[in-house]
Formats: sequence, C-alpha cells, structure tokens
Amino acid sequence: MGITMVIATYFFAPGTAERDASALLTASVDILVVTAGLIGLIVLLRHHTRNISRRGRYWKYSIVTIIGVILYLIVGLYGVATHEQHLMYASDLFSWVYNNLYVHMDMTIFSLLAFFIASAAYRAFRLRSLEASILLIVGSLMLLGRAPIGGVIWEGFPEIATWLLNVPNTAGNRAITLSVAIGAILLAIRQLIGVERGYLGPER
Amino acid sequence: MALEKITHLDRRYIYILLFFFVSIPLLAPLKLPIPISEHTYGVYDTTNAMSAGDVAVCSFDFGPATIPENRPQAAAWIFHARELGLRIVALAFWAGGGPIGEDVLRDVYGSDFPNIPEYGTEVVYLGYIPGNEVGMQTFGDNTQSAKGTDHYGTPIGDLPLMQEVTSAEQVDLWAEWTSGTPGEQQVIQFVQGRHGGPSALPIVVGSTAVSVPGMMPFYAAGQIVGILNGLAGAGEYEKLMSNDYDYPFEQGPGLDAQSVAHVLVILFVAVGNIGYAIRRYSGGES
Amino acid sequence: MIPPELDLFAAIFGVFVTIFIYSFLWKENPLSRAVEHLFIGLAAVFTLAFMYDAALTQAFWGTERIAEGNFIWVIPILISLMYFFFFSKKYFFLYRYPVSIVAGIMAGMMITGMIQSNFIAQIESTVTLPLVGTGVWEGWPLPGLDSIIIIIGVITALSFFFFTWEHKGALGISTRIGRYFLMATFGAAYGGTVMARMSLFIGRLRFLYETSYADWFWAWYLVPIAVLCVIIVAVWQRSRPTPPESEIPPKKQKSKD
Repeated sequence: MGITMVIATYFFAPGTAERDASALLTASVDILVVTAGLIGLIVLLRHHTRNISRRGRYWKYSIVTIIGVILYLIVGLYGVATHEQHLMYASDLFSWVYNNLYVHMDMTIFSLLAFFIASAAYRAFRLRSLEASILLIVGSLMLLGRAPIGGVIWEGFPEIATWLLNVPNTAGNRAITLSVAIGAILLAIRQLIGVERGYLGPER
Repeated sequence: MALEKITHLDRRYIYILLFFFVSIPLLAPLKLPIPISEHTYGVYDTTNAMSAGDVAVCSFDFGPATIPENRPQAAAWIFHARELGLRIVALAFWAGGGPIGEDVLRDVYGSDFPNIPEYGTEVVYLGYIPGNEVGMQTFGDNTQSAKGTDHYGTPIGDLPLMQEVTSAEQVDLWAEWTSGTPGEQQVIQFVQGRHGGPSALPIVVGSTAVSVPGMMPFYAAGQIVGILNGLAGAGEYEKLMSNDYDYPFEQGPGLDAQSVAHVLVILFVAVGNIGYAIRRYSGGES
Repeated sequence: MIPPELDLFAAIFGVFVTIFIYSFLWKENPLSRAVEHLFIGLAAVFTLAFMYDAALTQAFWGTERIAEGNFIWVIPILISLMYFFFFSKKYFFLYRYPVSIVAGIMAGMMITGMIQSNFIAQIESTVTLPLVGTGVWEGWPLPGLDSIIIIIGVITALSFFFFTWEHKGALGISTRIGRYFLMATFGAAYGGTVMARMSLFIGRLRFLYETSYADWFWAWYLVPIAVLCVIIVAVWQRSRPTPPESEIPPKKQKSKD
C-alpha cells in the first residue's frame, strides 16, 4: 500500500510539469481506462452465464442478453473483417445498428422518467414550508418561461425565467460550485497523501 | 367528495393524461411564436463573429438519452459554421457520442461523409477520444497524443487540418454538445484554463436542460459565452438559421408539445396541492 | 454501404421496443423485461467495441504509434493488462497499480483544474461585478442591483455550507437567506429536469408519429399491433398458475473466487 501511495505522489507531476511529457502520461491513462472498462464487461457476462447455468432468477432473460451479445458481436466481427484498419466501433454496419436500433431502447428507457416526474409532480410536491414554496414557484416560472406558451400567456414570463437563471440561480450555483471545488481539491489531496484509499478496492 | 377523488388519482391515469395531451400538438401543431433568449444569441453572435478559416472544435459529448435535445442543436450549429466557412474538428469524449456525431455530420455534409472533397481540409471527424477529462486535457495539450487516427483509421498526421491544429492554441472556438460529465465544466478546467482562458478560447455550449442551471456561474463569469438550452435552444437556433439561410425549422411541433407538457406538470402540482390543502384543513393527515 | 431496406427494419424494431418498454409503466411484464435484457447485451458489446477501437487507434495505428515504430506505447498496454489481476485472489494487489496510477493523475489534474476554473475564476467573477453604472445584464431597471443580489446570494449560500459554528445569530440569518437562494437554485434545476425529460418523451412520440418508409409505411401503423402483443402476453401470464421464481429456491451465492 505504501508503494501505491508513492506511485500516486510521483504522478502528481502532470498538473505542473512540462506539457508534452504530461500529454504522454495522460494519453497512457486513456489506454488504462479502456482496459478497466473491459473488466466490467467480463463481470457482466460472467454474471449472466452463471445465472443461466444455475437456473437463477430470470434466467430466461439472461439468455436474451447473451443472444444480444452474440448477434451484435457477429456484426462487430464482420466490421473488423471488412474495415480497412480492422476497426469495430467505426465500421459502417456496427454504427448503423447503434444509431438505428440501440438508441431506440436507450432513449425509451430514459424517457420513462418523464412519466415518473409527472407523477411525482402530482403526488410529492407540497407547499409545506416557505422553502418548498420558493422551490415550487421558481420551478413553475422556469417551466412557463422556457416554453413558447409562457410568452404567449404573458410576455414577461421568458424575461423572468432568464432573470431567475442569471441572478438567483447563478448565486446559488456559484456557492455550490465553490463548495464542490473545495471538497474535490481536498479529496484529491487526501488521495495523494494516501489517507483516502477507497478507490483501491476491497482489502483481500 | 368528487374533488377529493381527483386528488387521489392512480398514477396510470396521470400517465395516460400525459400521453394524450402531449400527442395533440404533435398531430395538430399550435404554431406558437418562439421567443429567442439571450443565451441562444450568445451562441449565434459568437459564431457569427468568427471569420472564414477559423478553427472550431465540435465535441459530441452526449449519449442516446439526450438525442432529441442535443442532436438538432449540433446539426443547426454545424450548418451555421459550415456556411460561415469555419473549419471544423469534430470529435467525441463520450463513447456513445461517436456514432451519433457521425450521423449528425452526415446530415449536414451529405450521406457520403467522409468521402467528400472537403474532408481533411475543411472538416475532420476524430471520433471517440477515450479517457474522459484526461482525454480532453491530452487533446488540448497535444492533439496527436490524444489519438493516433481519425474515426476512420486515417493517421491524424496525414490530415492537413490536423497538421495545423497541434493543440488548443490553434483553436478559435469550442462548441460543446453536452449532457453530463465530461462536459462544459471539464473543457473549462482542462482545456480553456490551460490555454489562455476565455478570451483565447471561447466556449459555446448546447446542453440538455437539466445541466443548464448548473452552468450559469460559468456563463456569468464569461467562461461560457453562449448556451442552447435543451429542446427550446435547439428550436431557437433552427429559427435563427431558417431566418438567415434556407434551413428547415423542424422543432415547432416539439416545442408546442413541450408547452403543453409544462402546463400539464404545473396543473398536476396545483391539483395535488389542492388535495393536500383540503385534507389538511378538514382535519386529516398533515 | 448500408442497404436502404434496413431502415424499414429499424423503424419496425423501434416501434416494438418503444411500446414494449412503455408497457412497463402499466406493469412489469415479460416483454419489457426481455427488451431490457437485450439492451444490456447490446450495451456490453458496444462497450467492447469502442474499447477495442480506442486501444487500436490509441496505441497501434496512426501518427507516432507502434505501427510507425514508436514502441513507447507498449508500456501503457502492459500496465493496463495488470487490471486483469482483478480476477485473481493471490495477485489482486497488482490490480491496484493501474488503479492508483489513474487516480494519481486524475487527482493531480483535479487540483490544478479545479483551483483555476471553479475556484479562482468564480471568486474573481463575483468580486469584479460592477455595482454602479451599466449593469451586467441590460434591460433591468436598476443596474447594479443584480450584482448586489448575486454577491449577497453567493455569500449567504456559502455560509449555509459552513458547519464550523452553530447556525445562530448573524450566521443564522445569513444561512436562512442562503437557504432561500439554494431553494431558488433547486427550483431552477427542477424546471430544467422537467424540461429535459419531457423533451425526451416528445422525441419518442415524434419518432412514433413521424417515421415513415418509402411513402407506404408509417411507423404508427404498428403501434396497435405492438400494444396487442403486450395485452396477449399479459393475459397469457395471468393465466399461468405459478410464477417461475418459486419453482427453484434461490441458491446461496458462493464466496467470490
């Protein structure tokens, strides 16, 4: 553990040292991060294959996942075989599948939030206190001011929304930004001097 | 007690109401007028102030989840930049933005992109650059260490435009299409802050509406010079483009639907609170 | 090139998955669950693909890379392979080296980046606000008032995050005003959130209503069919006697290898 700390401290240099050297270092990190993501993929596949072999909960759906993996992988490998530089992600058919099939699922899953937010507006937003009222009124004014209908109802709404964004919101968010900056800098220093070790994973 | 019943609706009725009312303006557009906000003018004026041949970085840092907002923003802006003769270095720091960015560029430059004569000199597409904020900093410091090739596998050193743009020092404008981290704050911290600040590298942002309030301190400080705010921002920019050039204004029905949705949410809050007030004053639960 | 007929397939696929996922709003059902799992599968391959590409374009192909004889790029690849010790019990400590390299560089970057842009620049921008003369924003009747509001807001809201002393007396008043500013901020954030989520939903509806293929096919033709599928599956599931989960008792997860 002591050595990891030394390595971390040693690499503190990029922020201040000569630019080109730091660019090479940070570019190396790009490659490291890529491999880290691969671990996540392996863990996912391991989970689903185990789930099928043990007939665990929803194991039939794990089969769907594996089929999805196999089909898309075939598309990808076809891309690797046909692409000039043997790239997968940049190959035509692979990006077509992403842009025309995958995005539908992703967008629809995220758009479910629209329904939840409408339902929450109806059930959870209560004018219990002055604070809640401020939140609600500012929120409503923003909603009216930032959609065309606000300007149709009263031309002041868009101006109010812009003012709310520019003045009170800027003040509040600036305080949050400053506080977060202090917190992040402290966390980084704690990591560098080895006090904060959560990122290293579990003790084994 | 009919009123009390209204305030105790099952969530599924809320869903159906939302589905129904938002559908109406999409099928029969209301054609509401679009006011253009100062934040949108910030993007428009900054871009207009550029001269032909200036280099603009166009960064697709969003995933599929915000396509309805970010995609029309980016398409309208790239169209504008191309009309003004800006040279565009397009890239993505989000993996999901890579293929989407290519699709947007094909919308503007035609479906043959990148097999077009101006590729390499007027526009390049570097695709996904890994490493999140680390990748951003690398790109800002030395474009060639950030990635070896463009999106299609051509070495970066072989592209005439990239021979000229070796670091963020040669970039005149940064257009950031963002829906999270890494996004505009990371560009400010790791690119703009290291390469001369806001005066040397102005940043314009097109963002999902969620993150806009959070970027206002940076807007007020001049670190960001213009913001396209969600779908409304996209519609406003399309409107400006359709006024200046022959650009299709397509977000009209969407903005009408947005108006209806917003009014509906406000009504939901109001009805919910009326029910709450009734219960409270009739001695029920607080 | 991609044959244009595939666009028809994309439209059909899009309608079905959209309706299947929305059926989740009514009740979770086999179709919505299946689409979710398919999504996870495709996402996994997508992750693999962009990583594979990134590694290739970052280290092998391109200017001054291994393909051009610059072998310095072998070092990060070798270090990155140490990540795979994640799966080993004995050599797990080796996995920590790449992790700490990344964390160290990020921490160094964070300190320099944050101090300049999120700290000094923000304070600078607050203290240099013009109090007299033309205001920061044109058109407001009292130039300078906005600046005063921002300065008061920043200071009082910052005091809210100040936990060294109890919030009493002057600090108590300040934190209360700060709390109102923060609530206004959260109100603006709420407005933004509603706006963004509704845009996404509108985007989906526009896809359903406006997608067409070669003049004769409109995506919304398929909506009733997709809804029918959901209903059939729901009825079929209700008619089944026992849920499959109860057939096999869940096995205890063995300790990690």
